Amino acid sequence: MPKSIRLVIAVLVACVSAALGLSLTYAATAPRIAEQDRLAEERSLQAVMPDADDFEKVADAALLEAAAAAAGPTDLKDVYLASEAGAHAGWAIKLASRGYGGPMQLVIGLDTSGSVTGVSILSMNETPGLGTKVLTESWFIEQFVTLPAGFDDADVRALDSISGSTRSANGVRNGVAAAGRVYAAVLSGEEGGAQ
Amino acid sequence: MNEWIRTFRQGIGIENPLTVLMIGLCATLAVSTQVQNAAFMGLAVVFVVTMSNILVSVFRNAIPSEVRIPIFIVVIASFVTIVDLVMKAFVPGIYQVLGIWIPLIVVNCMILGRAEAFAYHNKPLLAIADGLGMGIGFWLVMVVLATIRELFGTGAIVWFETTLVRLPAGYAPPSVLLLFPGAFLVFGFMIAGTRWLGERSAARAEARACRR
Amino acid sequence: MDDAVERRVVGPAPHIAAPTTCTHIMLWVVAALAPSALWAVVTMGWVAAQLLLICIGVALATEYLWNAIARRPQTLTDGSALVTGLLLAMSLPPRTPWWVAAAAAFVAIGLAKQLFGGLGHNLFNPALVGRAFVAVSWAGVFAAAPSRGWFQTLPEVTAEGFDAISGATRLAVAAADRAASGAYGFDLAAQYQPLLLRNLEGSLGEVSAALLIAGGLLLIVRGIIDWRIPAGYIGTMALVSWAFGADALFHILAGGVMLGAFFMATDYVSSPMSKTGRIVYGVGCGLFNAVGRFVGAMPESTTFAILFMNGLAPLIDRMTRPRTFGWVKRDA
Repeated sequence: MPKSIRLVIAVLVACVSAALGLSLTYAATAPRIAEQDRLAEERSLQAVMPDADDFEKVADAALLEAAAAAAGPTDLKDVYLASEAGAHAGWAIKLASRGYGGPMQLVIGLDTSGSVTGVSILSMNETPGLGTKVLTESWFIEQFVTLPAGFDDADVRALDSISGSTRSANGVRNGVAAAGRVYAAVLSGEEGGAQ
Repeated sequence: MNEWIRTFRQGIGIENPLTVLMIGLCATLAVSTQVQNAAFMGLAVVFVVTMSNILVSVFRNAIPSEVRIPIFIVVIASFVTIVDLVMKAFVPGIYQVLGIWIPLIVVNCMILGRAEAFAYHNKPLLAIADGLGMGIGFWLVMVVLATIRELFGTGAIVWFETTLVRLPAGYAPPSVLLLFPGAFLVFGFMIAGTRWLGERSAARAEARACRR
Repeated sequence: MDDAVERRVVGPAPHIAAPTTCTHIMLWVVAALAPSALWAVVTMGWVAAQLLLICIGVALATEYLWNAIARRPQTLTDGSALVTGLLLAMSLPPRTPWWVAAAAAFVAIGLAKQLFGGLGHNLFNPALVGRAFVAVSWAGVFAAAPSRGWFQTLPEVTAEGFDAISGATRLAVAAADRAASGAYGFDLAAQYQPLLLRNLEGSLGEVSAALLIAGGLLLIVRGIIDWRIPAGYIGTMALVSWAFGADALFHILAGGVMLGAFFMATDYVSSPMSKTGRIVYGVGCGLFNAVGRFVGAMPESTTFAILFMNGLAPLIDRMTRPRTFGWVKRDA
């Protein structure tokens, strides 16, 4: 057998067995991963709107496109329709805002009047102990609830930042401001329960 | 058996991948801001280096030397992906923090280095010793580095929301320790420390030999 | 014979012995900085004197202890630790907490100077490393001057001075204005006089640009520092500020430019040796300082601009090495 063929076979065998091993692992872990993802999403939505009992992802392409345009430089991921005991209770907006160490995944809850019910950080890559102050200094996240209904960018800018973690704090603030713009441009005109 | 123990100890001590060979530093410096992250990252590395060493060693006669590097990479990448999936399924919190650094274990030159320098030329049992020794050596240095950086950089060590140690409230943590300059700084002192220890023990061994 | 002079600047051995010693140079630097330091104490009050004492004291103590522990000859008398401590104090805001100032001085001497092998071996300017270390570590101290602990036992400076010091500096206000509307909310030209003569915002070294310029000119006239570095630095700073559509005079007077250009960037050890190299180095400092101000996240960037160019200094030296005797250029 020529040498080159032997080499090809060796690499081929290695790749095929690797693929086999990986597909087995994937099959074993996939359901658990999906379950974890679903749980994480549910927890994050529940965290920003504790009163709501059901969330439904908005699938209306035109609405999402308009919302993404309104979110501006911030990257809009999803919009959820929240309901409480069957009645429309507000919206949850999932977006990725730029922090110091890359995108920060945020969820922002808005009630039907457009005021913030809660903000939660799904994931971020900020410097531990420095940028992560946006999470550990709980007053920072909590202050967004004080924003007036139908707030705009200037209202968000008037809130306090965290000294030493300006970029991370701005990441969160820009995200909330983007949610405000989405509400003002798109969601405020939407009729709640109408599907 | 002596040979096994000697190989195992080499990875932790005189051939420590981080403080002596200084390979695989990138992820080490990036992840060692929290003990919790460093410990899990280190565990992932222990697993991958040991498994890839075993596999490479078992098949060392079947792997043609012309294509050994691509095959090593396939082996390492497979184990890294396995770790990636398993961590995602069972410790999602840690997985989220470590993020990109888990897939990047593939290019951690320490693992490829052990496959190439040791496992490819040695029997599986010894390869296990080498993989475990190197992995644990990596883990230890990483955790010590992270302990120093987290304790003095944030003023406390937090393990899954539980505060293990907290420095007195008057301590104002210098956040430079959490940034890259701090990582290099602390790591530099650790290298100096191991050098000093190594030289001291070498001098002692020499003194013993002379007395005989 | 310009060429011959060119070669004499960093000629190889043999050298002629001159009365200019290290101590001599260091004392001239101290003398040139002394008026600014005294003026800072007079205008800002006791806090400035305390800061000077802390920085110089810790710098000298660290130098002494290091030499004692490492069993090296004592180097206190060469004056370099004194200069480092003084420069460091001049680069800090007056209300810096004492432990931050002490940490900066310790890092400057212990880490940036002695760990690299002592005077003559440090790659970076020790005073700036000390300042950078604390600026990154305790960013809050520099973002807003605190008034806790140590200071409360001190006699307050005048009410007007106090407010000015704890508030944002002109540069920070200017940066915020730029970010918000692209224009300045205050009259820049009205700032020339206070910046030149009596400015209570920012660090000790920002108190009077005129005194710093006078000190710098003295050093240039005495041949202690080379005019090329400050000229390249300040010239570039003005040019880039103008290119960004900003007031050039305001931007060279405000912040750390004067202290940086005359006293920090000209540090013998961490700046290039050749004449061309010094111009390149000065221009680089000015460029990064200006770009840092207009594009960066922080209002001022003197420290990092000079530290960055310190790192490049060996490369600049290599690229601008004067031609040596004794060989013929190929394909002339």
